[in-house]
Parts: sequence; structure tokens; C-alpha cells
Amino acid sequence: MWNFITLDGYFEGNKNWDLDFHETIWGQELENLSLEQLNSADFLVFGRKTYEGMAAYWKTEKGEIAELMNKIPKLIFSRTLKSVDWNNSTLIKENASAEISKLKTQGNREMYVFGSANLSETFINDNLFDEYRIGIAPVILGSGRPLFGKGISRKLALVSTQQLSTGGVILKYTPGEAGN
Amino acid sequence: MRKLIAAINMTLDGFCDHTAMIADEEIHQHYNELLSNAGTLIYGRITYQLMESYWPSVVKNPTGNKPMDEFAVLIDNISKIVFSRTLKNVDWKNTILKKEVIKEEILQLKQSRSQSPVDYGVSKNILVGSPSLIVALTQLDLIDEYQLSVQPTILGRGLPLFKNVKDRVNLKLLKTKTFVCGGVTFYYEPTKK
Repeated sequence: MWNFITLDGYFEGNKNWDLDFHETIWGQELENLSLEQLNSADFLVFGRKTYEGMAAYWKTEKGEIAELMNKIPKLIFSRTLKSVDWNNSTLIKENASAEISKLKTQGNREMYVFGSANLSETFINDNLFDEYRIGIAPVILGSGRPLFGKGISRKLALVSTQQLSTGGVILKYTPGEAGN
Repeated sequence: MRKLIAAINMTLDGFCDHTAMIADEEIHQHYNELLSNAGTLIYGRITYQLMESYWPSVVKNPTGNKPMDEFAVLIDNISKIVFSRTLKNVDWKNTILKKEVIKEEILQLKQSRSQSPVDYGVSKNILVGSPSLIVALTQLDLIDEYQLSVQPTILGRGLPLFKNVKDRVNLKLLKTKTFVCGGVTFYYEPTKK
């Protein structure tokens, strides 16, 4: 999982794609990190809403990140979409967790889930994330949409913290032991 | 001037339920240092009652856990202010009760110096550790530093620390401190308006 949240746990404001707070942490370091991640990815995984926003944005963008975003194979999980037209995207309608479990056994590169709070909830329930990589913005939003609609029953294990010069902090966690 | 520091534990998703927090030796040691450098503790009713129901009894009957017993003595001795409209009186030693937060009074408190013979005249920090007061003092632009200790836990629901924040608040990151248990303390100061 790769996401940015505010100190009050929101990944966006009260409207879809209200991501103004990203400006507080974006910069060269995050750009480098994004490139590094995209270069290590064999799949990007999205739910419907995130897919729609990402596709609309990246299709016409230029630059190294845009090229990678457009090129890397993408899996879109949605029961309602009829088709997907973003380059290298595959629509999957059912059994998201089974599909991801299967893919995890194949290949040795990384799969990233960006945004996609609803889909992430399914993956959290089925304990499919191997790592939670969360960027904390130095912002209290007051209201917005929480990234984690439900809790995670297991305590996480902190792997690393990385302080960005912009004031963001990237925290990496792995799922801890069950029942902790 | 004395710094007003908001110091509190929270989960990664912004909840502050105390039952979700870990307090191992290292964490207690951290809070002991914080308390040693503070001259005043500010509480709202709920946090005050929670603390008052526990720590004085540890002073009377130490647990044998050294950092915890030290914490008990520190919190027992420090000067405390409780803000509550409903409490009639407070029994805990070195505690005074106030009905409401008045900006001028807090500003005066920040200017004051220690009256204790041990460190007479020193400007020691003021700590606030109650969610509702942290928000109220934030809205009044009175907090000088935030020390948010993020625990490696995602609750999904609970008591949101910043529930009553109305407008977006931007902070400036000073540093982070990482604990063995997986907690990370974020040090912030408010951005100048």
C-alpha cells in the first residue's frame, strides 16, 4: 500500500480528488521515491474511483512519472465498470483477493495499491498487504475521508521512517503478528 | 517565554483512545524526561480524572517498575491546572481548577517563571495532554510545539484527536524520534500565519 494521509487520517478532503494537502510534502525527494517505486513495480492496482481519476490525469501528462504510469500494467477491480481504456489496463470484476493472492505467487516484483480505500479495505481484511507505506503530511484537515474505514486487528511493525525536507514523513510498516 | 507543548499519543489514523496505546519502559522514560522539563501540566476533566484515579495510588504503592514509579512521582508533584465547567473541586495535590480557557491567562502563564525553591526563576515548559484542550488551544493559536506520538496501530474508529478542528491547520516538522516498540514521535511547530 502506498498512500499519503493527514495527521487526522484523511487521504482526501470531503470531495473526490480534493488532494490539496499533497502540495505540502511533494518535492524532489518524493518524485525520486515515486520513480523508484514505479521502476520496481510489475502491477499497479486500483479500485474504480482511483482508476477513473488516475486515468483522466495521467493519459495526457508528460514526463518520466507519466510515462511509467501509462506504461506499467494496471489491474482495475470494479463490478460496475464495463470497460477500461487506459493503456495496459485490465478490468477484473470478481474475486479481487483471490486474484491478488495468485499474482503474489508469480513474479518477484512489487505490486502497488494507490488510493483505492474501498479495495484496500478488502485487502486488509484478507491480510494481503506485505507492506504499508504511508506518507504523513504535516496537516490537520479538520474533515475529510478516512483512508482506513475499519481498523487493522493486528498491531503493525515499524520498518523505517524517512523524514522529507518538505516536512512529510514516510513510514513503512509490515503487518505484525495476528492477535497483537 | 515558556513553551506550551501539546504532547499526546495517537494511532496512525488519528485516534487517541488511551486503551489503544502501548506504554513500555522506553515510552515511560520519554514522558519522564518531558515531565522533568515541564513546570505545569494542563488537563481537561476526562484526562484529569483518568490520571487522578491511577497515579496517586502508584505513589502510595509503587509497582516496582522503575520508569513507571518515577512517572507517578513526577506527575504527582508537578503543578496541574484542570479546566472543567462541571467539576466542583479537585483533590489531587498541586492541582487548581479553572472553569474556562481564557487566552490572556494562558499568555500570562507562558510569561511566568518557576516559584519553586528548587529551580526558582526558570522558565519551564507547559504541557497539555487532553485532546479537547489541545484542539481548543490550537484554535486560539496558543500551542508552541506539538509532540504527536504515533503508535503502530490502526483503529478505524474511536476518539478522533482532532475532531473539533474546523479549519485546516498546517504544521512545520521539526524532527522525529523512533521507539523500539514501533512508535514514532513527530515534533511540529505551528506555521506562522
